[in-house]
Amino acid sequence: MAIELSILQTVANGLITGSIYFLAAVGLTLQYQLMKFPNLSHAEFFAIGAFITYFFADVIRIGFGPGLALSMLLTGALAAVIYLTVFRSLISRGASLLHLIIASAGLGVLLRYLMWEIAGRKSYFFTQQFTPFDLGPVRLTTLWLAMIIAAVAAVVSIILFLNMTRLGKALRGLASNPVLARLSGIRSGTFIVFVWMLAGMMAALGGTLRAADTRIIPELGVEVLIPMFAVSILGGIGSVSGAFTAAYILGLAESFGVVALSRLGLSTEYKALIAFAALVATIIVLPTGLSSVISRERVRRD
Amino acid sequence: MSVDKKEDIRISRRKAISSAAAAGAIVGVGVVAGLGGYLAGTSTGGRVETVTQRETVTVGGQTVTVGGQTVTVTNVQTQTVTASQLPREVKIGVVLPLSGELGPIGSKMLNGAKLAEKLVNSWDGISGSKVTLVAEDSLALPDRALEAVKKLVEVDGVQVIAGPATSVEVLTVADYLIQRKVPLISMSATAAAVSKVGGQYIFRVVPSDAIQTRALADLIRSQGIRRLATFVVSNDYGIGIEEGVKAQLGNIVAISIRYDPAKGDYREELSRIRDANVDAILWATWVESGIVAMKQASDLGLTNIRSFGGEGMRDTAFFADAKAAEYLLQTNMIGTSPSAPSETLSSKQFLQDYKQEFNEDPGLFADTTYDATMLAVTAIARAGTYEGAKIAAQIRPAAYHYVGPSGHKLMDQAGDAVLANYEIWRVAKTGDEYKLETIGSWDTAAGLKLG
Amino acid sequence: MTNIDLFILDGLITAGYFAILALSLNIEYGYSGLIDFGKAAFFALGAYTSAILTTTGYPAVIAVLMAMAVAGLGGLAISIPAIRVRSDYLAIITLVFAETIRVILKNESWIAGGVLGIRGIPPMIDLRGISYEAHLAGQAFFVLILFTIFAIVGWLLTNSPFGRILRAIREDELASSVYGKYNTAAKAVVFGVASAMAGAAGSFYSQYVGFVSPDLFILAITLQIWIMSILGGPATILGGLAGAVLVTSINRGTRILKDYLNLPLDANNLMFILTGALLVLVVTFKPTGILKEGRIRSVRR
Repeated sequence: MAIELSILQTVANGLITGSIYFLAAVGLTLQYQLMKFPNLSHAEFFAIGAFITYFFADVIRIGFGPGLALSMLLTGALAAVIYLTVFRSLISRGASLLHLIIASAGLGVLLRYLMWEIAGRKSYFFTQQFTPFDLGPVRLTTLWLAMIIAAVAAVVSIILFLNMTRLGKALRGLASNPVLARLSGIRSGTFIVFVWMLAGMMAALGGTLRAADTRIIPELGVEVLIPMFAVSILGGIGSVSGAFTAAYILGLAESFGVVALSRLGLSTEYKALIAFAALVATIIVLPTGLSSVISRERVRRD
Repeated sequence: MSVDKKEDIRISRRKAISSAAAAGAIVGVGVVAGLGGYLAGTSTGGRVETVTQRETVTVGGQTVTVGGQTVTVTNVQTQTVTASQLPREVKIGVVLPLSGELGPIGSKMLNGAKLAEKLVNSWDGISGSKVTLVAEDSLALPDRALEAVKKLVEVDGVQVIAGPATSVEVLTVADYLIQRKVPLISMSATAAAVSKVGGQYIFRVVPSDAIQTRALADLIRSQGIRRLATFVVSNDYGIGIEEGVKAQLGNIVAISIRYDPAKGDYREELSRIRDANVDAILWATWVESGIVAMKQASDLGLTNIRSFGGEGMRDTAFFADAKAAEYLLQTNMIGTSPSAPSETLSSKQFLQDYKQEFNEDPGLFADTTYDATMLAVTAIARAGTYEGAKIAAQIRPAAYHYVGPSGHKLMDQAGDAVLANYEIWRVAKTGDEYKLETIGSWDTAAGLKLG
Repeated sequence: MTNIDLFILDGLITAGYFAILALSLNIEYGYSGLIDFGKAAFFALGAYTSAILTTTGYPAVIAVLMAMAVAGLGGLAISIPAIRVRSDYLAIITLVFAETIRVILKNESWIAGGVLGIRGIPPMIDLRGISYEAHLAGQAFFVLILFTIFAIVGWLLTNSPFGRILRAIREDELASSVYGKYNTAAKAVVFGVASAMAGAAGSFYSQYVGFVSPDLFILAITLQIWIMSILGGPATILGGLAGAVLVTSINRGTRILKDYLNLPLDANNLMFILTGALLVLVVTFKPTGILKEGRIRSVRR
């Protein structure tokens, strides 16, 4: 009996972790498909979003919720600015794939150490408190529940947006077949900016919630760098529903992985390897990701 | 990259520009290096200036009567007194993590050294020579520590170093410093392995964890704990405590978790501990990740257990978050710490001086950093000359009677602080304020004494 | 007394070993177009193998050969799954491989000291008995000779007919496979050779600094090697050397300069910020690096 109950807690923990992974990855996966390169600096917006929320919520004191909303807007804007200043000029100069990856890595380092410089000497915690409660045999807090709700809300609204609105449909067209999209008159520039903004907003949301659960630190994004990529690739680059599924698969795998590791007496640091293994397995076995299996969508990868 | 004739011209022009750029880069590097060399070479700290004094002493007079005439014969004697062979500015190197994950802790540790520097200089330095700290950031990474140490020795001419802070770093820089004959005094490296390289040039003002884990084990046993979980940070500090305690307590340890501080969420690990039905958790964490774990433990309802910790947990920085502080109180966190009981005159004075200088309470290892620096100063004074080998020979003698805020620093042959006087501390709350109070002691002779 | 010349020499020696690493990356990326983000792994494998062997009494030659063998085999092993996939996936797989190795080394203390690593590795050229200066001089000649050997090997490799195959693959993978140039086999060979070279660099580096620990093999090290390669010129032999010297100078230079210029920023943060900015700028404005790729010398025109 005790074992079944504890499994429920493990499941809950996996769902909580998965929600964060989804929020971190959803912007990345859309960006990856559109821009055709893995943006290693995306992780930094996780931390940037958390810091901005902290600034408004606890320094200027307008409260956690309003701080979060403001941070989402600002981080989204910042992401768009970064695209316009750095990556757009790189692409127009004909930068190769490697150059884009390296530039994004360099940018990531730059942003992260700027954060260390501005904020680095102290530890930061949100003053907002979250209360724990029991849902049957499972222990949750209002924050953890908020994470799950945020992820679900995000996936629903993004999918609705992509499928129902004209802007969304244009985006999908652009992502899957840029040549045809441009021929039919869709102007790509604005849409690309929009995707970057969306990525920044989602990262700010995920980052703030994650920081509220742990702490606000410049390395916040780097901590989830590999899971973020694992989720994007496992789910199929560019697929929001794929990322959603993959995020929870990974979250649950990590939680159950910890159970297995501690039964085997191994260090639980190895749970990081679960994301690694998922990533490598996907690349080798199913490079188009889950989305090609789930939906009958054919994702062009060139 | 193409072999077209037309491109040949473009390639050769590009080639010319690139070659020029290459030459420019190499020249640029040379200039930077040369500039650094020039700047470093012209610093006054580079030269050793010897101060000598000559005193002319007239010794007495003698009256001699010769044939009715009085002649006074005066003997004049000249004595040369050399006041000091120390340079006018005596440098003490400090290697600490000043940025990165341990940055906040290391920066506060540096304050301990700075306090020592200030006090010594207010007492006219070392025989008139001013004491100057040269601090280098090692980020607690061994290759950075080696680079920092090399820079201190070769660029700044430092002959004694306080630090580094972690055992890995000490082990890494040991060979180089032994070769260069420059001693180091570590303020917080507690791994047992350090004893193997210590005694001649490697010293520490903290006892080896081999002893602390005995104290911890005694404390845990005395509280009637029958099932224990260990939750440690996955590095030399945490793993050292985990293995030491396991060796002492055997199968009282029901579950061991090593967590990755870079990972940030420990819900599942803590759920495992909850399911293992333990009576207590032994924590060995850094502050930030520790606070995160405690918040999550509190949320998970892991509160009907006791908490134990070593000196790494005895830090008011844990109170930065209300939930973590409350958790520590709820679980009756008690632990061991190799400082002298906080009631000694020396530690009270240190606390007062520190608060006056920095306007806040000292953090973890501030007292040991202070002691390491003071010991370096004393050793230099005893040696009378700014030479690493001579200073190294005076460190154990200097420590013999040195009693600082972290206790009596008598050292054994391996350069380890030998008097393992541990205090038993706990987290308490008066009114709205959390604090740390002493409730007992442990030492190698008398064992555990509580209450 | 100060010996800043010794500090500079020590920096140059370190740069020399990293130059060998950067050279191995140039062979993979610059000439063959393979994006390897796992350099640190082969560096680590070589360094640890060599450390374990030399501290248990085996002679240096065996240690180096075994280091190259282990790292080379590791490279071949990872090439099996890795090279068949597209470039960005290759980067990710190699990155993950490096992290896996690091986590395992850190947690399994029975393999090699775990978190504390291994110290007390004897130098292969040991003149410490004479003086520190002599020791440095000996090591400096050693690294110079080593780099020259590897540079020659690299030059021969990339200017041979095999080298032309590699450049063909880099330029247009589809075309070269149509012409039957055994793409996969060629790539595997490159991976194996370059990884063996990285392993050798690891072995030599470990005997110079005298220790190995898991912290030596973090992602940041791989990034540094990439920076050295890109700055110096990825499709050159000497580019790695130029890049390594430049990056090492920045690292150590900021440490020294902070004492003289009242930097408004923390020196360590400044170093990373400079490095990141430099990366972005170089990639934007001078993507082929400082030095330029030489044309293949083996073809008579």
